Amino acid sequence: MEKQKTRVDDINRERFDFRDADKSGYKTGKGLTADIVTEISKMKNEPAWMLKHRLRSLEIYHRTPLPAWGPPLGKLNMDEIVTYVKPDTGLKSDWNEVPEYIKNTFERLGIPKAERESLAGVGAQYDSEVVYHNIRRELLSQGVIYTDMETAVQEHEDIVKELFMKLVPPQDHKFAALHGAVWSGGSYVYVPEGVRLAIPLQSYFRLNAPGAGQFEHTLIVVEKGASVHFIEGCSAPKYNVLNLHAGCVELYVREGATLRYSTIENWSKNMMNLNTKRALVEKNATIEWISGTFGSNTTMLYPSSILKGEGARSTFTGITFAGNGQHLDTGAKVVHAAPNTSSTVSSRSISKDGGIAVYRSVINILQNASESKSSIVCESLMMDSVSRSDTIPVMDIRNDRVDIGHEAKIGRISDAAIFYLMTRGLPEEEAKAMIVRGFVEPIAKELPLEYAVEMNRLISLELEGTIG
Amino acid sequence: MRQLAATINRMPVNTWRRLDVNEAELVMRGPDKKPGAGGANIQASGQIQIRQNFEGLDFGEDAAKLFVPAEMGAFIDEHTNRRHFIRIPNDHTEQEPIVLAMRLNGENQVLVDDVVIEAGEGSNAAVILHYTSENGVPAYHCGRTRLIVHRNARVKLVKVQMLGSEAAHADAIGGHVQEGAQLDVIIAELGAARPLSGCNLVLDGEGAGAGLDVVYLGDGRRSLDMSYRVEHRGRATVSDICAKGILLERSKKVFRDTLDFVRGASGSKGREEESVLMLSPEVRNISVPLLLCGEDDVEGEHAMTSGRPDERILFYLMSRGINELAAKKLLAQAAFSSIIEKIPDAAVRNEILGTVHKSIERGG
Amino acid sequence: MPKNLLSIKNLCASVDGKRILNGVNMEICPGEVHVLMGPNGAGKSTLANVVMGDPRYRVDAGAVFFEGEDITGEKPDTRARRGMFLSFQAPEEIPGITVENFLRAAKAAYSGEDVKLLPFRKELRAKMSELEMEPSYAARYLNVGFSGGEKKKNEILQMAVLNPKLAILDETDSGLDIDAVKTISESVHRYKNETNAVLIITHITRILQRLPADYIHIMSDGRIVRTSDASLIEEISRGGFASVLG
Ligand SMILES: Nc1ncnc2c1ncn2[C@@H]1O[C@H](COP(=O)(O)OP(=O)(O)OP(=O)(O)O)[C@@H](O)[C@H]1O
Ligand SMILES: [Mg+2]
Repeated sequence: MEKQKTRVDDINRERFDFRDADKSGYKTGKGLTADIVTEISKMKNEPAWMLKHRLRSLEIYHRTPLPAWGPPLGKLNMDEIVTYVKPDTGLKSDWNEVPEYIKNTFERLGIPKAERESLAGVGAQYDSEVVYHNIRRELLSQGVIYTDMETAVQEHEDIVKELFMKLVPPQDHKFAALHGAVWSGGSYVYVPEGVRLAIPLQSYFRLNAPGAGQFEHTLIVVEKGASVHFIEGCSAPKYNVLNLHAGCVELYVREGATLRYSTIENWSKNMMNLNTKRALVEKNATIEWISGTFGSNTTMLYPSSILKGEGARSTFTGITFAGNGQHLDTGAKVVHAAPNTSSTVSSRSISKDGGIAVYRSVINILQNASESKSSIVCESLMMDSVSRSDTIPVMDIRNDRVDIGHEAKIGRISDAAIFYLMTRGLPEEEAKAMIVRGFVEPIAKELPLEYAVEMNRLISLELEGTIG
Repeated sequence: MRQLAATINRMPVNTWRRLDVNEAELVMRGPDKKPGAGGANIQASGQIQIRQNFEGLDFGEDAAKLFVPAEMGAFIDEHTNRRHFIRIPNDHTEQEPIVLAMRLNGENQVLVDDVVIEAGEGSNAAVILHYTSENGVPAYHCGRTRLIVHRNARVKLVKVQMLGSEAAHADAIGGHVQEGAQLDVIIAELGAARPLSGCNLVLDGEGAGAGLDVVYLGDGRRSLDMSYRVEHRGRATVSDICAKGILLERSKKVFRDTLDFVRGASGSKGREEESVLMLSPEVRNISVPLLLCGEDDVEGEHAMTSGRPDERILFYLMSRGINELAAKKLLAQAAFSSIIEKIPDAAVRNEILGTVHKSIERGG
Repeated sequence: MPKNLLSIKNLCASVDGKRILNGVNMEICPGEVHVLMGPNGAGKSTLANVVMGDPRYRVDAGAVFFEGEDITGEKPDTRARRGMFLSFQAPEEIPGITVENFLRAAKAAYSGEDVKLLPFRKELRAKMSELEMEPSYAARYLNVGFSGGEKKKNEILQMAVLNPKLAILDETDSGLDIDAVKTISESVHRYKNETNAVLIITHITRILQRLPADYIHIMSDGRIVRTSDASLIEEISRGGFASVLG
């Protein structure tokens, strides 16, 4: 007898799938040449070192091969990607000055509302440029800086020059090099010593133009004893051509500081999402990654933490939902480079309707990292037998005075659990829905409330039983 | 003497190249003189068919190919100086283990062995392959062992590698397990300079089962490279991979274990587990536990622990006066003995425990 | 006045940041039998484990002395070799190590001398038969698959073999049938002499039938709230802890 299958509907992406007519003010041609790169730099009025950095990155890009592992990237043709799309507006700090159609887009995504209710600052990027940035006045007076990357290059050149692409150098991999060449937009956050932000900052990235790339750069410095929660949201309407997102995030968490970095990624299914995120964590500092990967055609994303100072900590909590046509390769990297460092990785994935979810990670315990601890737990839920779920962790341990534990589980919704709930009076569908919700709960509870609600909506769990 | 240098792929799927775990380098050597090297003598009852050739054998699919690519296979075919085909007749239960002891010495330094074991339907046997070498001899061993376990048969294969610390060793096992059959493989990697060990077991038939127990010991500057995989192909197949390792002095190990549930393997269950005790600050310990899954109706689990033993247990032992290092050693030996006790030969068991004991005493 | 065997001074300890012992004081001299009682969760096992040097607990203040020496920071094995012993409330299961091999290793560590196999085996057999344990248990893995009662007997067997100066028995009598309590009580009685001491943590008093207690301590909320002679036991069994805590 065939066992009954559980159906979880695809994530409902309707809310994100609306497009604006392409009204961009300026676009580069398709493809990637030194001319295009120079043009982008000129448009932005950049200092010479930045142009040099771009051109050097481009060179590295050309000589670096595609990764020999992970999802197939052959379908990505850089000659078809427009790397820079400037909206027909400058940077505003008042929504009323943002062009109506762009404002409407962000209204529909709920950004201004969230800003009023629960955020300390908001940045909004539309295609290649940030169109809106604002931060609450009282934070300004405490010396908090939250602005777009272009402004930071001009106004905080010293720090930017010192830190920009130092954690993620262009040599890191092909798409880091690409990013170095054509980056545009993104956020710069500086939290001075001892300043602790009670409510989050949020940057939202919206890619509207078909066949375009988005390459925003986020640089955050949290000084000694300071703390901040940064939220990153991304979405795009669906097109029939591939779009590319190759962002880069560099986080500096100084002594005793705490940074929580939450991402809810909900790109449309024509997006190649090849993103790089890295944090340098100093003495007794903490980085907390919350990562939800729902959208995109292909994702490669492994937020990494370099625990450089004694007592540094990192936690990673991630959920990946791979539906039809999606190949989502996600995970985490941690380097324990000092004594008494600790890391936890907790990852969950759901694969359905032919979706492929891959958990990939590496935990590196260096020789001087005595008394360090690392605990990795990853669980994968398979909804049917046309999908795939792979777990590919590497642990490289070079110190004996450590505790490392890794656990992984793959399976489907347990019949026993369904039965148990049904004996308590729940109908079968409700029982299954409850179990799937329970499965994502550990992630949901880490999200700010409005995002947790968002995720529940994302995983619109209309379950229906089908007798196979 | 002929040599073959090769890079072999050790991972069923690749990951970051920088981590240097995807493949391994291997140099193969062919022996100068062919027959009789290694001085294997086979202990078996008269019921067992033993031939020194593979004539008329049709391998069909060959699970060992995962770790023995075509070029290497051809090299082994050409240079084997021990070739055994061992057939256990249908429904025959071989009471005593079939033992092949291979000892390398100054006379016979190079052994290339190629063994095929076919277990007829309903048969039951244990086979022990035991490799040793004289101290100080630059011995070289390269081997391939292939098994076909027919319906409802049970086979236990024990491979014990206790070559001298200068020896080279590269070994691959491939097994196919048919409906209702059970194949248990026990691998002990305790010697050689740079042992390269691989095992790929395919559970073809419904209800087939595989157990893979591994003990490995790193001491001196030994660098171990191990790749093990179980493929769940048939329905309701069951596997259990369990590895226990001890790393001492300046040893290094890469341990990859993979459970691969392919589509159609519904109702299957697999578990992999590795625990490593690191007893020196200079060891390097790399683990790559893969769970690959293309079927929903399965249960796959992996657990890996590394570093120090459970604090409570350590406290318990220490509260009886045993110091921390001694307690760890005790636990290391305890971990080994739970696998070693499955070896159906007391002499081999004692030899292994003796080796482990000695090297822990020396290197702890 | 004999020299103090164990002396606990204002001991405060916590686990995972949670304070459990709030200044415990206790003095135990050779030849004495002490009983520690108190409601569940009072901190009795914690005290026993801290005294034995369990690394999971943090000593926040105070000190522990054994035969006049400060052992507060010492490792558990060093304490054991001084002659301290703890019979655990929940003994660990350790697969792969047989009871016999374990005890031989422990005995060697305890005494600092080689322990010869055959005489040791003989001694072990004798001690096991006193405890009415089947000889086959010697070949079984330490506590693995042992019943609750068998684990407790195995703890007492270890005490008998190691012959410590101070034995702390944490609820060694709970979970045992009537005959087993008697057997264990006799074993403790045999062990007890003028130069050693026992600290018995218990909820029932049957184990004390053959073993007259010199002092009864009542613990509550991580403190010794009352110390008295054996008559206190009567009081508690009549009126519960409330009657003595008040
Ligand atoms: N490792 C631990 N983590 C958290 N709490 C603990 C831990 N160990 C002990 N406790 C808590 O400390 C308190 C004292 O525990 P303890 O085991 O010492 O009590 P007890 O007096 O021995 O109780 P019982 O009579 O039930 O054995 C309890 O509240 C217990 O839950
Ligand atoms: Mg207790």
